[in-house]
Amino acid sequence: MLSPPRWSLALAAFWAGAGPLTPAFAHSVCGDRIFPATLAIDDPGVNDELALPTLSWVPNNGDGAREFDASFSWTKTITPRLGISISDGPTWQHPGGYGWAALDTEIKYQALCIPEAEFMFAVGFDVTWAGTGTGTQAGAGSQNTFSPVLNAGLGFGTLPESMKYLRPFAITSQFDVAAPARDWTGGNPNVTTFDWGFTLQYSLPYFNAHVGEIDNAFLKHLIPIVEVAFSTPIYNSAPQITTGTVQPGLIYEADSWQLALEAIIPINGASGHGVGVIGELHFFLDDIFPNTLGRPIFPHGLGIAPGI
Amino acid sequence: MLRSTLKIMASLAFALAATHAFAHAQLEKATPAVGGTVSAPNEIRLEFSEGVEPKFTKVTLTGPGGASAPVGAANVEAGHQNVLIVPIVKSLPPGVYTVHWRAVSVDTHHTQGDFNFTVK
Repeated sequence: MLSPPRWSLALAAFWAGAGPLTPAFAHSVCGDRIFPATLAIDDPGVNDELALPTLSWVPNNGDGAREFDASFSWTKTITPRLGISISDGPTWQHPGGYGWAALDTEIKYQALCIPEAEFMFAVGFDVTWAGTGTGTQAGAGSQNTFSPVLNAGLGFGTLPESMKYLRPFAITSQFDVAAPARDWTGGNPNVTTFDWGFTLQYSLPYFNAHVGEIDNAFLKHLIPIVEVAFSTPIYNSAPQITTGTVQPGLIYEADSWQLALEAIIPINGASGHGVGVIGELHFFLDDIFPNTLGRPIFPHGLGIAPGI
Repeated sequence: MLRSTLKIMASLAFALAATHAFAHAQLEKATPAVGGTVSAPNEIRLEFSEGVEPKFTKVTLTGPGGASAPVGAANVEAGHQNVLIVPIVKSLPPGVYTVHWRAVSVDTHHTQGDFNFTVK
């Protein structure tokens, strides 16, 4: 089956290693750089956003079934730099049937933003909750799965003037280890995986504002992007075959929402066959409801740690 | 569940259509143009995607060698809260200039950026 993106995450803060801190903003703004929400991995910020819906279809999911997934993800800031998210959604497989994925939650802390470097870094902890899946997805959630997560993003805006056409590039990355609470369930091994992914994006909004004017109202909102997401079994699995997808696509970024569309290309037979597609409509709640739903519950923090 | 999801989406679409959404002010267009070449301009005009608060918005101009070029107080264009006008105090000699801007939108979100233009 197509693994649900690991970017929907969890429940326990991870503050160690937080460096010098600067004010940060919603939907991943750091210095001149706005990192868009991405589909295969999470962005490196803490936001008030709603992804609804995320729809994907693959012709062969690696188990020989056509698969259609629908999901949502809601992220909410508790303080300016601490947020939680909740994600879930149904899956249809043919052959196979219908099931509702296990509930996935995350707590995430934006540990660092260096505006001059367009660099930001976040840590999170994700939990996939046992017993919350149904139908074909019930087995996948028979035990909690815990995942410490790292996210980072770097814009290329500091490149010299001679390389100004490369400045709109940015990369983001995610690394996590998904560890089931039990090694075995009903005689079957529960595999621990190392999940990792990257995005390479070229922001035409950034180009328009920093490099040269784009005299086209549609083009200057586009972000061509390639995402890659891999999952490597590291415990309780034999053989240890890495699965993953490469996802080239486009993001249209408006003021308070974005629309993303990407192809899903499996990297090997264990990851699937044929080219699928994924699309997502994403709302920036901090921009739509800046004084209510879209602001942190504690906008001035709690005085526990920087940004918290 | 699908019906519930559609209801939520419809509600959101209605909310988006029925209310004016504020957002991060992104630079949509500038005069002199980003990366453009012009004769000595007498003002900088920045058109943002959202309304900005001129009191909390800062624009500086640096010229060849990093020397600061004096600019006047920023004001929004009459009737256009999203357009910021910054007068240039002294005529600019030929060279490459860099505009640094830091904007606060009307809903207090911060954004910033910089770009070059050339005076011929």
